[in-house]
Amino acid sequence: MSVTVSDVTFAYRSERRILDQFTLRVEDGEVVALVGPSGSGKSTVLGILGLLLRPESGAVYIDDKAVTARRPTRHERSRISWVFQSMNVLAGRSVQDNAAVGLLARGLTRAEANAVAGGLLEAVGLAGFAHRAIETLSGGQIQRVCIARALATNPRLLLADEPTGQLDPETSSLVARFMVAAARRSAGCLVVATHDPDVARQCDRTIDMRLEAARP
Amino acid sequence: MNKAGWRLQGLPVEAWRRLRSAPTRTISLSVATFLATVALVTAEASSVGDALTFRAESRQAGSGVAVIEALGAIDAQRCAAIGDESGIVGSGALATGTAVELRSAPGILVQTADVTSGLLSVWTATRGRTGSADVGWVVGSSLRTELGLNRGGVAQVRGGQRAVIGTVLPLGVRTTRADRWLISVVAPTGAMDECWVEFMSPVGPTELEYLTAAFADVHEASARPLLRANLLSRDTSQEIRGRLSRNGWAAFAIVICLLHLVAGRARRRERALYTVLGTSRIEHFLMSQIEVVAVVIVPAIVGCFAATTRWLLVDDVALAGSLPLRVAITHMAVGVACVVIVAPILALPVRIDRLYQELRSE
Repeated sequence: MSVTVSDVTFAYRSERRILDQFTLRVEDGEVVALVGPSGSGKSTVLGILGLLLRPESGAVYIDDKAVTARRPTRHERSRISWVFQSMNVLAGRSVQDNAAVGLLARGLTRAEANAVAGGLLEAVGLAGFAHRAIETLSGGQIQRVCIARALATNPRLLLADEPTGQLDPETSSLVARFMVAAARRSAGCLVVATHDPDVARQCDRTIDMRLEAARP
Repeated sequence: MNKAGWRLQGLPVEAWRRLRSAPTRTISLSVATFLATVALVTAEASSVGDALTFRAESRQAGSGVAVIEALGAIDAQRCAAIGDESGIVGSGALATGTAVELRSAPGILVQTADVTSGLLSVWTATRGRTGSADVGWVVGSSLRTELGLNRGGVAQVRGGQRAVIGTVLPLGVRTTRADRWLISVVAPTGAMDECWVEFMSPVGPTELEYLTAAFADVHEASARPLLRANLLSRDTSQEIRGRLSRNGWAAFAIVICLLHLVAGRARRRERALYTVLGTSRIEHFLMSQIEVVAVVIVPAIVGCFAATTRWLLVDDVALAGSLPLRVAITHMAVGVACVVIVAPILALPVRIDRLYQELRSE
């Protein structure tokens, strides 16, 4: 799956323009890092790529088909997964429930979803944690659950918004390596917004949002 | 992989897991709904029940009865005919006779009277179910007790008529004087002294005007309610319509919806996560609907049942099919239905871009 944003402009309500004539193409299987200071538009680009934000102008293409002028289909959205900086999990639920919920939303039975989620939890090193409450895990472990949840649906586009932002350097490096490796294994594309140079180094390409903003 | 979204049978399971994941919220909402329902059903039943009890007691005492009198000038046939008109329970005419002394009770004077059969129904408050009493005399319970008269016995007036006691009736329900009279039931013909009419509604100026108009040609006929006006001063219909507990159900619906709104605001991030993970609005709506059923409908039904049981046990009132319970259940159903419709809508995500901001926020 390739995704392209072409000449997009975006501003949050009456604020200044975050993106102005911004263009980015992510090829199938490519791993791209978006770097830059806070407020430079990294998360906004992810939101547009993930079809959660609609640009004021410009176009978004998925596999070279324009999706800007219409509401994205469920199928298009189902090919995209997310990992966020804040540990977005279902509170009060088990690790397995958290890892499996995306699969349930795609029509799998609970048994099927639990089986797939179990395999991915094992892959992220949380094999024995399936039935534990999510709150009993550390930050790094929770983020690995989020990655397992994102990968469980076999996405063609994985978007990660500061996935290591709240982790210590050691865990951060581990999580980043795992995420990039998983994206490469699934042959989907990964776009990661990050401040972490270590994460950016592991990517095929780095887009510096400061340079994009300065571009005439 | 099915791209159609959640399996239908997966939604209740997920809704149940969501409820279990936040026991404090679930229990608080359920208990609040339960207690509110108990309070409102109890308030409804007691306020409506009190008004209805008063209405039934005053009706039994004769709040719907009016009497028009003109000595020897009331047309008995016209009086009897009024009983067939709409809004009228029954009617009958009365002509008082002389006081007599029975051979079996020397020294005791007993008033005699001729009445049409409809009057017996009015006096006994039996709405026309008195039955035929055209054989012999009719006596009231007081006279029977006082003089030892029984049905089938023979009473002989000193120096006059001798007749069988045909019927003994509780004639003192609405007028104590008739309960110790010796009464002959006569055909509704000729002129009599009084016409008693029982209206379906309590007697007011309209009813008295109606009765006066019916005997407009009778000189000096005066109509009066059987009961004094101060006994009719309570307007039970208005009390039922204007009862405070009636508005309680609207307040109940608003408060429960507000609680859901607050709970929904607190769960924005969870909602956003479900959306980003592929849950559609309708699926989220259905899950919320199931949650509302669990925390509103079930506690409301249990609360209604508990209030009813408490009333039956403590107040010893037969409620089955009674108006207070029907009123309470009707209003409860409306209130709960409002909550069920509105609360899940409040839980729906607004805009996906705002949800994205929610997910990204710390």
